[in-house]
Amino acid sequence: MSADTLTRATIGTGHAHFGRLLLAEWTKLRTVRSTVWSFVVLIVAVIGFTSLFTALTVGQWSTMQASDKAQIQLDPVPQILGSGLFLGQLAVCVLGVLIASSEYSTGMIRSTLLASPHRLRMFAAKAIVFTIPVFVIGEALSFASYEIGKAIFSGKVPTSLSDPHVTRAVIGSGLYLSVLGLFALAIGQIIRHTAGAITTVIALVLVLVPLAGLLPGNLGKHVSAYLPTNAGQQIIQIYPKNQILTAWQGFGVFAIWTAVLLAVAAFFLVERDA
Amino acid sequence: MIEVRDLVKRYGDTTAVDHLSFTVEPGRITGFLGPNGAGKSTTMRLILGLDRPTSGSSLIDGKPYRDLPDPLRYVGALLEARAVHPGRTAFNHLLYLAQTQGVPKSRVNEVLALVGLDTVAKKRTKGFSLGMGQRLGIAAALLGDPKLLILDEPVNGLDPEGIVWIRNLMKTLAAEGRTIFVSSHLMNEMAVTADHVVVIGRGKLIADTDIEDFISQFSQHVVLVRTPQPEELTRAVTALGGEVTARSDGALMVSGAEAPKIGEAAARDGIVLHELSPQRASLEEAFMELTKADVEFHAPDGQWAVQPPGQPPTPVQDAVSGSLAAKALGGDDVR
Amino acid sequence: MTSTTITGYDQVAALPEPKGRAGFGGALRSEWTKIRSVRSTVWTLGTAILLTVGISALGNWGRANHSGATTAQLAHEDLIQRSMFGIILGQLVMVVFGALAITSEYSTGMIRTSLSVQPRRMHPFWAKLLVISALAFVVGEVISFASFLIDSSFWRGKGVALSLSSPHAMQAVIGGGLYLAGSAILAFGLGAMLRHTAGAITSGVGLLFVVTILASFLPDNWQNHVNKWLPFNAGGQVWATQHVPGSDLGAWTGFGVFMIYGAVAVVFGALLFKKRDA
Repeated sequence: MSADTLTRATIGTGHAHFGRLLLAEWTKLRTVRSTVWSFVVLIVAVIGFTSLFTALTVGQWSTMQASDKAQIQLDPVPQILGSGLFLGQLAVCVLGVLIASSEYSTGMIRSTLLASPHRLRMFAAKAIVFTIPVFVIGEALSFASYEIGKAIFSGKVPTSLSDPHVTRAVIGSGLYLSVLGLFALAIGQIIRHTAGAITTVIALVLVLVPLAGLLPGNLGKHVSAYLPTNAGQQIIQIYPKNQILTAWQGFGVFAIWTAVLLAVAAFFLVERDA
Repeated sequence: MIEVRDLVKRYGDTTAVDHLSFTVEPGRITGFLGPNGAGKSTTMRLILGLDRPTSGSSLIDGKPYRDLPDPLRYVGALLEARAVHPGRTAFNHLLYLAQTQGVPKSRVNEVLALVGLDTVAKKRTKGFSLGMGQRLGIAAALLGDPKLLILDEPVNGLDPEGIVWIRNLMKTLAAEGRTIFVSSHLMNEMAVTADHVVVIGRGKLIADTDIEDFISQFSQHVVLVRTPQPEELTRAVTALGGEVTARSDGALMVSGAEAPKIGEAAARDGIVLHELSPQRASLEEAFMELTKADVEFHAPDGQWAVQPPGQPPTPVQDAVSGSLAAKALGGDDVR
Repeated sequence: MTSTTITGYDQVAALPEPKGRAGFGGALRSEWTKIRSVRSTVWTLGTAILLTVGISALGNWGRANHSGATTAQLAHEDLIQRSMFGIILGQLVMVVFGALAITSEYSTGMIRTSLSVQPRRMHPFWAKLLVISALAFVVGEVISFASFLIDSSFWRGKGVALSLSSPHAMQAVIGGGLYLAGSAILAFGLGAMLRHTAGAITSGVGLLFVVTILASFLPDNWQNHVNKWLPFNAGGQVWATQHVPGSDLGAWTGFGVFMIYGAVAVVFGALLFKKRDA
């Protein structure tokens, strides 16, 4: 160890204001290799699978049933974006949870809270720093996948961004993923336990909420339509699955669910022991 | 300055911190002592705003930790157990902390060099040894050049050179007027480091005094005498009101009488002395004696060796520690 | 200062001489203690039971009493499989259970203790696998029988008589439990390979769910060839009573394929467990 004495750190005011917290959270995000790699793998997987599945469909075009062909031609966007969106959901759920829960599993929350005892500000910074890359990458991937799918499909399945609602659906994919990321982050922060939170989010998003479609009767249909991801996915549909909520209404409901969960998470963060 | 006022923390039925009040003054090193389970770590976490107290408050220069606008420039804290992400490099771990308070990158490199981790700055902390992890924690605490240092077991895992280094660091910083609050179990280390001690047991305050007073108050005074005339000396000492025990190597252990008086008595009676040395009690002995009643986790027979072998506790010392324990415990066992 | 009365160690009774070596029986007992003394076991298994049985009940009650399906329509459906459809969610919880059993050793650092007290490294591995398989099987059977018995009562009210003596009912209901156990075993193998909780759960979910859903984007005749070999589809045959020849494997063939996935994961996991540093 060095025998030098300390030198004074002479900088600015030194207050932990919001801009600095944002920078710190960004450093945290970009300096863990597995996080960065996850985004890379996601991009590769989405582009790869979209290309693969659309190419396969085109390859088999001549042997397909007329009714199947007609269905794809009617609504090509789910066919193109579907696989990528599905993978994106999974990735965003896991990453969102980890951003929050890994602070607890590694014990790092203590360092973080010592540096930023203003917990609300830290949580807001964390949420923003996570959502921006998800949004940017989500939108980029949506448009990229769409263009790739459109190119591969050309001749067989005509589609274009100027077709009714197509642009909204493509933009909506990225928006949906961004809100889903925040949804997962909130749950990760509330549960604080990696395995439990990941399971909860995946169970909710991939199993429970879709299963709600089986709820009986008119009441069941309404309840199912207002559940978070069911409502959120309205924004990706060109021909809406349920007529109870329109595209933007559905997205709004999902956003409200997420906002409520984030508020709960923030409350627990501020009140609970580290 | 750290002020703790009537701090209470309960977890369900257990009271970890029980109406604790003390002040940590700047310009000196205050040792925070207590048996395992006494509530030291809990108290530190409460001071640092990591946990919420059940009641009471703790203030750092008049403000609760959570209200400090630039905490890292105010307080440098090192708590036990690592608080790092194994997949992140040492440099990046300090970087994100530094960025919250606008501390420049150059400072990060400075503290890494200071603690001797500059060669592994770009290595992921996953492979760090205990000592390296500890040094990283110390580096983090020093990042903002803080006015206060709150350290929980800082020498844990450090090699001898590191132990000496941190001791000197604390002394230097204290001399500059900063507040140093350090908890440790290493009594010998504390004895040469601390100026003042705060001792707690089972969540309650037991002592809050300067270290010299602490040692002399709660330990026994024994004087070692070597003489070719043991019987004469024993007579002389007994006349003074002291007690003599013979040690196996021929030395006489005298308690209840001070060295100058023994010397004068010997000189008066013409007794030759080969050695007359007061056995300065150690902080360890003082601590053991004081916290005997408050140890949470006892060894099976509950006996701790405090006195030299064969020497029963003197009535005077027993009365002091007994009454103190009684005062601290309110006359009854806490549970 | 040589007195040992200071620490009291001499007052502790001397251990009896060790009998024999640290054998497999001891490993089994210790793994059982480990798994039953941890809260996550009760949490995961309890949640699996509640969620699976609950969701199956909800869905079946809903369909029996509130859909417009006629008895004639229902006669064509695989209601026995439907009565246990909560297994779709239950398998997820079983994945968590199986993965945690091994990844928690790594995340807590306990693996170092476990391996240093057992010189034969594979003992704790196989013992752990046995213990969690047995536990998952028992809980799985509880789930499948409970779901079937509860939900068949709903269908009986609708005029469809289902019982354990219905054709293939026993195979399907026992198969439900077997499938759940198989999910846990697959996750165990993945956990041993990856040593990382989030990674093992995600890849378990990936193999069981994601692959199946992704395959639905394939063109139809591709699907016909590929689907039946996917873990969920293959394994699903063992808790179904209707199999479409050509596009489904048979009940036990399908289960065999499903268990091959699990076996491969376990074997790789075992190899890595044996070779790697703790």
